[in-house]
Amino acid sequence: MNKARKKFVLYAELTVFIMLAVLLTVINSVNFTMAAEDADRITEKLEAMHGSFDSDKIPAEINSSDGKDDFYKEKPNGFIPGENRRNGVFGKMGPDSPELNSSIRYFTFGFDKDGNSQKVAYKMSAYSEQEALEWAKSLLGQSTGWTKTTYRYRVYKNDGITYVTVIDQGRELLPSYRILIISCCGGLVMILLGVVILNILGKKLFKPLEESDRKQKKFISNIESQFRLPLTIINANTEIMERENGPTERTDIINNQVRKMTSLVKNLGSLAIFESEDKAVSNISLSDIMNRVIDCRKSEFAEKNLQLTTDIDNDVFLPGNEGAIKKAIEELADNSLAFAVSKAEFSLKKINDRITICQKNDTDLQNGSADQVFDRFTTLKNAQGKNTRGLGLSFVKDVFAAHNARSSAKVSDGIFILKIDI
Amino acid sequence: MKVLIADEDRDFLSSFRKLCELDNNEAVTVFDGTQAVGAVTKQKFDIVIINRELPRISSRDIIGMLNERNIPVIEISGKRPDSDILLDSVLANAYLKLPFFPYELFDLASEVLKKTGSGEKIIYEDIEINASDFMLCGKQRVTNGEIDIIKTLIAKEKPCEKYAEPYINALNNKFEKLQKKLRIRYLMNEGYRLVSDYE
Repeated sequence: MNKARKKFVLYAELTVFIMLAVLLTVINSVNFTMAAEDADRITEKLEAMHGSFDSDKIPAEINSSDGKDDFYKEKPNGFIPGENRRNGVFGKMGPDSPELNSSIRYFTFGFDKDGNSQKVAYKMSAYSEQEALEWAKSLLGQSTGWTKTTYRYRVYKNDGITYVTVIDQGRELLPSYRILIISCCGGLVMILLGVVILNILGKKLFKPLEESDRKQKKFISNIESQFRLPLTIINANTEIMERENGPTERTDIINNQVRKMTSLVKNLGSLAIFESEDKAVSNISLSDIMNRVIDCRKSEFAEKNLQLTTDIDNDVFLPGNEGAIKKAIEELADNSLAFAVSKAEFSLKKINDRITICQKNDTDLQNGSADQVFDRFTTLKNAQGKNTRGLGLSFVKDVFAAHNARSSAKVSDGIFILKIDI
Repeated sequence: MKVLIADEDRDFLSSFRKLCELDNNEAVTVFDGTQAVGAVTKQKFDIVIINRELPRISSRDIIGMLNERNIPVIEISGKRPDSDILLDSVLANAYLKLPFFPYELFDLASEVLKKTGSGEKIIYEDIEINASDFMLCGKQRVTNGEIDIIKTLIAKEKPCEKYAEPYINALNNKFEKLQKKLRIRYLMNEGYRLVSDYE
C-alpha cells in the first residue's frame, strides 16, 4: 500500500509537471513570438522608411496603401502609426507608440553591389559605428531574425542597395525574460509544493485503504493460522472413523477435501508472509535457486514418469527477496508436477539485461491465452479432480510483479507455456 | 508407550488420545502448562507432544524441564521451525507444523524414540552426533531433522531442500559456534554437500 501511495504521488506530480510545463511553454512561446512580431513590425517600418526614422522620405508605396497615408502625411518626420488593431484597450504601445522614433536604438547600413557601405542611420550606444558596420556585414545574405540575443535585424533591398537594419529590443524583451524566469521558478515551487501537499493528501486518502489492506492481511493470516488446528483434528477424526469402521467413500471424500484445504491453508500462509513482511532484498542467484528447487523435485518427476528437461543459464542474478522467489519457483515446479501429462521443461535465460523464466509442460487444454491461471482461486478445466487450490500461480505472479516482472501464460499446440519476463 | 499430549484444544486432545488408544498406547492429555508440569513431575512418559501456544506456562519452559529429564519431546505449531528456534539452547527433539496427518505425528514420534534408544553415534570428520541424547559434540542440542540431514549428507544422498533449509542453516551455525571446520554447502550441479570450510 505504501508503494501504491508513492505511485499515486508520483503520477499526480507527473501530471502537475506536464500541465505546468505545457502551460508555461505556451505562455512564454506566445510572449516571445509576439515580441518578435513587434520587433519585425518596427523593422518593417524602418524598411518602409529606407532604414531611418529621421528620413523625410515617405515611401510612395506606403502613400498609396491601405489607409495609412493620411497619418504619414500628418506626421511625416519619422513616426509611422501602428495598425488600427493596436488602438484598443492598450492604446498605442510598443511598435505603435508615438515615442518610438525617439526611443528606438538602431542602426542601418546600406551596401551596394560592389560591397561599398553607406551609413543610413546610427543611433546606438552599446556598439561603435565601426563595430555596427562589421555586424551589419556579417548579417548580409540573411533575411530577418534575432542577433546577439536581444537585437532584431532585417536585411532588405531597395533600388539595388541592400540595407541591414538592426534594432535593440533589450528593454522590450526584458519583461518577457522576467516572465520566463518567474514562471519557471514559480513552476518549480509549485511542483515542490505539490509534492508536499500530495504526500499529506496521499496519507489521508490512503489511510482507509491502508487500514482495509492491513485488515485483509490480518484476516488472511488469521484464517491461515486458525484453520491449521481444525484441519489436523478433522484428519485425526477421519482416521479414527476409518480405523473403527474401515475406509468408506465418505471418509475418502473428507480426506480429499482436507488435503485441498490443507494445501490452500499452506498457500494462504505463504501469501500472508509475502504480503505482510518487510522483504529483505539482496542480489540473489536465480540460477542457483532454480537448480536447487528442480533438483529437489527430480525424484517426484521420475515417480510420475514425467520427462524433465532443464535449460538454466549460469550466473543469472537478480536483486530480490530470496525467500519469496524460492517459494515462487517451488510453486512453478509444483504446478508442473500437478499438470504435466508426460513432459515438463524449465528454462532460465538471460539475453542482454532481460531475464526470462519459462515453464512448459504438455497439456490437454485448448490453444489460447491462459492468463486466468494467475487469478486467485481460479482453476482451469484440467485442474478438476487435482489437488489444486488456485493460489499458487497467483502467488507466483505477485512475487514476480513485486520484482518488476511480467507473467503470462498460454497454451500453444498442446503445450502450456508460462513465461516470466524480468 | 506412554504419551503426554499438551494442547489447549480439547477436541485435539480427545482425537489424539483416541488414536493413541487405537494403537494400544497410553495417552495422558493436559490442556495447559500447569497441568503439563504436574503430569511430568508425577508420572514418567516415553514421549511428550506439546503445542507451542500452551497457556499458563510456556512450552519453552516445559521443554527445558523435559530436556533435563531426558524425555523426548515433539513440538507442534503453526509455524515452521526457524533459526531462532533451532538455535535456542532449549530445543525439542522434533518439530511438526500444523496441519498434519496423524500418521506424520506418529511416524515422527517413532523415529524420535528409535533414535533415543538406539545409542547411535554419527561421526564424520571432526563432528560427533549422539542420536540417543540429540547432542552435537556433547555441547549443542540438535533436532531429529538435523540428524537426518547429516545422515543423508554422509550417505552422499540429497536432502530435499523443501524441508531441509532451516535445519541446514542451524547446523552450519552450530558448527561455527563449536569452531568446527565442517560446513554444509550447496555446490552447483551437485546439490548440498558436507565440505570443510577451509577448502
